[in-house]
Amino acid sequence: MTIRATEHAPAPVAPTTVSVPAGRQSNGFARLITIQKQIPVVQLVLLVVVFLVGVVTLPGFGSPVSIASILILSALAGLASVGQTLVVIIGGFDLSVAGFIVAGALMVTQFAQVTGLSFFTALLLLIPVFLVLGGLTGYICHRFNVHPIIISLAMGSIALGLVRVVSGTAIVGSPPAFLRALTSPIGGTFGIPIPPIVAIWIVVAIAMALFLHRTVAGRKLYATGANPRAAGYSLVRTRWFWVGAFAFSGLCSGLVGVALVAFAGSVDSSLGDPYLFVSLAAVIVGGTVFGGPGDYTRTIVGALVLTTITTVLVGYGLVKADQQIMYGAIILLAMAIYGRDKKLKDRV
Amino acid sequence: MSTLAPVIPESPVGRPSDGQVVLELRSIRKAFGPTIAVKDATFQLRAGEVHAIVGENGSGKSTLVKILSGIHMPDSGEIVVSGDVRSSFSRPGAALKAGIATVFQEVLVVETQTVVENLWLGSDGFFGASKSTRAKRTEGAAALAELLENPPEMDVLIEDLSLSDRQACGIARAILRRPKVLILDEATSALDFDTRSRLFTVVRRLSSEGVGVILITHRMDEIEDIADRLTVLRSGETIATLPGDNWTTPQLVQLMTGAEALVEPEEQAVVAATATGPVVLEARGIRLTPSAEPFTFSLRAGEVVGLAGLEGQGQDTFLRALWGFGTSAGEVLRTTGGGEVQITSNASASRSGIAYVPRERRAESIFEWMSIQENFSLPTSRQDRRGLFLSNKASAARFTNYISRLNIKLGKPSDGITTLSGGNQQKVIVARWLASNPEVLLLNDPTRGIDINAKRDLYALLRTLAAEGLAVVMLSTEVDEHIELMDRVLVFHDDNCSREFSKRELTREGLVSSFFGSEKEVA
Amino acid sequence: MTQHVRVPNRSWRGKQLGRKVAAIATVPLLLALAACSASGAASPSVTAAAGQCGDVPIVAPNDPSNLVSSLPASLQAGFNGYANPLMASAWSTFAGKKTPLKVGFVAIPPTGQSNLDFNNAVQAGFDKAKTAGLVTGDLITEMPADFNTMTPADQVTEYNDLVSQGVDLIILHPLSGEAMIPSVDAAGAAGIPTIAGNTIVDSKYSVTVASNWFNEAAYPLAAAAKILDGKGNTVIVQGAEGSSTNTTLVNATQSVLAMCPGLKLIGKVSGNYSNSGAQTALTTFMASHPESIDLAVSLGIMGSGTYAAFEQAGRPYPLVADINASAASLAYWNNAAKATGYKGAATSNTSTQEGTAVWDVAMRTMAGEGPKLNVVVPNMSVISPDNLNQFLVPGADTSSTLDALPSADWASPTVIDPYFNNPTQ
Repeated sequence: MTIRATEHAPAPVAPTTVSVPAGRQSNGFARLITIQKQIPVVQLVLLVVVFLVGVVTLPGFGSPVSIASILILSALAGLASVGQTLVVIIGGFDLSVAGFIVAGALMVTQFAQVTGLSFFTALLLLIPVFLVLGGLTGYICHRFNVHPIIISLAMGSIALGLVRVVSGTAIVGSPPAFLRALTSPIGGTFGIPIPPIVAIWIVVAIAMALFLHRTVAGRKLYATGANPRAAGYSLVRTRWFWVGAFAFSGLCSGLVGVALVAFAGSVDSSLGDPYLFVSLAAVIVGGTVFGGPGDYTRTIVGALVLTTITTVLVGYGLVKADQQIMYGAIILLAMAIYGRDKKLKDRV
Repeated sequence: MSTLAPVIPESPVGRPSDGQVVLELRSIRKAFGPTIAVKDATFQLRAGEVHAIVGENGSGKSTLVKILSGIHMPDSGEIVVSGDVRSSFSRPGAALKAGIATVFQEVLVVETQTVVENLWLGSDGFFGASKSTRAKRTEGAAALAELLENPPEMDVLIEDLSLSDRQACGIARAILRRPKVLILDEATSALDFDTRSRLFTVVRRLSSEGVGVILITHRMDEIEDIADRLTVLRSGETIATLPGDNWTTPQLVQLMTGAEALVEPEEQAVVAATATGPVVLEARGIRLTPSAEPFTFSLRAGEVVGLAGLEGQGQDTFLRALWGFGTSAGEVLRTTGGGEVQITSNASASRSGIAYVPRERRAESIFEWMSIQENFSLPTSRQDRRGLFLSNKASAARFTNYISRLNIKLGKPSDGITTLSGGNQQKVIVARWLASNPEVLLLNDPTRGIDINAKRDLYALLRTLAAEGLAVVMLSTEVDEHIELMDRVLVFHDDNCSREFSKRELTREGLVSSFFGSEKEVA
Repeated sequence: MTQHVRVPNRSWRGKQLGRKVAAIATVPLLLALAACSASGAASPSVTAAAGQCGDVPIVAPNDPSNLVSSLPASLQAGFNGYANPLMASAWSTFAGKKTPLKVGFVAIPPTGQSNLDFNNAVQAGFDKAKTAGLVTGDLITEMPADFNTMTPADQVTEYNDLVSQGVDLIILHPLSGEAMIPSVDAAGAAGIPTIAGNTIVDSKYSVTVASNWFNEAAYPLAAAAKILDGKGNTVIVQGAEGSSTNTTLVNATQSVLAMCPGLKLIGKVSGNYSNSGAQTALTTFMASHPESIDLAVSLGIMGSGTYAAFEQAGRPYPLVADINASAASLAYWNNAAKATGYKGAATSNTSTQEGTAVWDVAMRTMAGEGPKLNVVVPNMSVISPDNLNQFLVPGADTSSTLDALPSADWASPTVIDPYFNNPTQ
């Protein structure tokens, strides 16, 4: 197409309004929202404010042991959410966390005792078993296009049931003594005054950041969540990412079970219950959205925010029910901030 | 758009011309974002007439029907139903209440419910039923008996019926509402021959009882059979209304396409001679459905081949078959100097240097929350690996190439893909696939919904690439695109490759009339 | 560890849900709520009883028909503060049934050692009775496969199923006492007695063997108050907030504290009858409470988690008033006693004892001994520094999963006999 020269200037025409999207003022608020999408500013501010409120109003809140305690509880919550973060990024969620935690805890205690395996042999056995069980959840959900709600919940029970076939029906067990140092606030790691579980958490966080942002697999994982159909057309094997994410989540839950048995000193059937909720809450509060965007760094912030708020609330004498209301309110807030982009039908 | 098309004055002929106007549309307009689906539709339906609405794909027919059935609300204009003037139907129920019942092309039944439940679906209020169960059964059975030679029992589950019988149930459901206006929106495409004939008998009976019937169809024979009048839509405007017994196919095609108005001679001249490169892709003995005719297709390096036809005639299946989605029979072979590779999956197609740009940009291509550069690099991100990890720099360097080459207008490559216009998004998607260095590029209607400048850029790019030896197969729903861009065009009809046009043979009229099958060939 | 205090978990959850629903309406009042809760004051239902700090408060039992007075004086103190309504048993004049008996058992699936022990004890009693020709066939045991998904409704179904199978007697281990009442009443009216363990069914047609939770908390706590000289900061580690057993335990705790102005309650945490839960809750609590904690009241089987929280935080143990102590928590106590001269206070019972006692009461009832009340309260085992050795499990360390050793007279014939009109044993 060529533009033909006109003999004379055209009569004054009303300037064509190339429709400038209305209300797109580049004001501070809009910029804030843009930044919020990159970095969880609100959560970080909340974290700092809550922490400072604690330091100012609660005597001794800022003491090293107190901070170490918060970090350990955050690390347990954070590690329980590693797999959950990946699963949420691909657009699912994993309710097998509680079952897998108890199963993992049993595996290295009662199971090891009954079968005569050493702690480390049991731990080595745990890895493939939990990868397979978790992966099965992902496979079934993707292959038969069913929502992970039911499958993952069932798989948690199946994992626990399988371990109990060997370990006996009772959910009991106690860890080897050396394991307990893992989660002691006064413990250190290779001479550094950081509790071992926190050191592990830091390593995991770095590995997750590298994996998600700097590897081909990480990129494809995001694509799987962002638009599974488009990912398929881009030759991403979405099914294997579902299998992989759930397998990883299963393994993480099992290992958190090991860490929890180290922390608590014994296994019981409700060991994993709090972490099912916490793992999802940390992911959502951190600002990872179902199907992305999001990453594990945000989950870390989420875990820290939740733990710090809980600790401060306990400092003020709030009982469990009040804490639960608070949790719910925070999650609703997070969903309000991050869920707005997505239509309801995308989320369900 | 042009308004030069001849407007044929409405002739006062037609059987029930004396019927009262039961439905009238006055200057209806409806836009979806920047796309104007219906620009200025004006239309009258009289009691007792069968009124066909015809037009090309995208001429606004379906939007019009959806406005009439309360699914869309028009931006402006008036709807007059039995003398009652209103601006819109706020919901489907309102249209039904005004006496307008619609049967859509998609078979809309509840598969897990019985025939009788489907026939009376939605007829009951929240409290209490509209009719006794016995009345429902007898009336329902009667309505179905009229449409089907072997009507199903009332208690059979819909999912146990054939597609044709299901659609018959859908039609019976509309008829049972005793509408004043019955709209059949390509509702006959799912019916078998016998049921369609019976349906037309029923339609005749209804119109003799004073019901106005709107018939949307692509089939000239149906129009010929039953239409009392017909209205032509083009680009969202009503172009003409003709009496049912006074039209010819060429005349209709001309009205539908607005042929004379749109030729752009300077583009015609650029056309390359028929490509003579080596064959790079071959489809042998392809059948798109088990009952379709097998055909063979070979694609040469440097040519641009268009796939045309009415919506859903098999061209989409064919294009996807070339990318390894498989078909009913036959094989797709990628031929190179080194020999032949059979394409059996998307992965093998991709490995053999075949790239595919899917049809639905938003649903099948875009990762909405990801950045422009991430959207570009995803399938080829392996190339950005430096050691273990991805290098953002490497990715940016690759992308910069394509920004200038495809003339992509963007802020920063790290901005979200959704900050781009549809045309620029599509360019990023094309760049995504060009980055895989394909020798065969398959595009599924890539220009749909993008602005004219982006289209021009894309045409120019495809031409350049073809000149460099890329083989291109492009499905398009726009007739002009075929005329302008393609070296040759395959036309699909009823899941057969019904016709092939070379560049020299291509005319708008010839192409459009070929869409409607070979029986009504243009002279 | 285990749900040794097998409180009606589900009914707790039900109540919890109700609380949440009610609480949603009060979300805007959250800050006010926070301010109110900060005081952590005693609940108004607890009134200070006469006496001085370190005494067990004397609270009249819930005994509308004045039944306790008909018991021997030695047993009457065991009903101090008894919370559930006491009823005269419908089987007091029951002549018994002809042996051999067909027996049904509505059980809780063995998630932990404790439920397993209970079930095994009942089975062992049955096996012994079978050898003696008192029962026939197998013990018809009904229980769902999975504890985590079972509901009281499952037990009602199972119970009614046993009735329709024509059993002569039902042994019941209730998840929720309240849920079972209608079925138990109906079966009782048809001549089938129910003997329950651990959780009370408020029906005259059942006889429940269960501790008096008021005394279980009040006695060790009173001892602890004495050791501490009535001074110090106190934290309560409760089980499941809102369950009736927990409420009784908390009320008992607060009525002891009410007599000791020097024992300051600085907070309550919830461990949900799990050591890991108690430990997490206490670790969180300590992060915002650097002040010294002198008394930790573990209201049921959470002793070792309580000790572990302080150990891991590197803080000295408070005196742990350890209701329903385990082998592990007693090992903590014993280790600390050896190292620093630490003194604790505790109570204990074991599931094996409980299951055995339930079977014993069942056989007595069916033999026509005539139970007087709808409950049998065993003889509480209060553990003090003096008798700690009797309860320590040899070789068990702080990560043991075992119960503490049973005391010989928890439910011995001399304890049980007075609960029957014509004891023959």
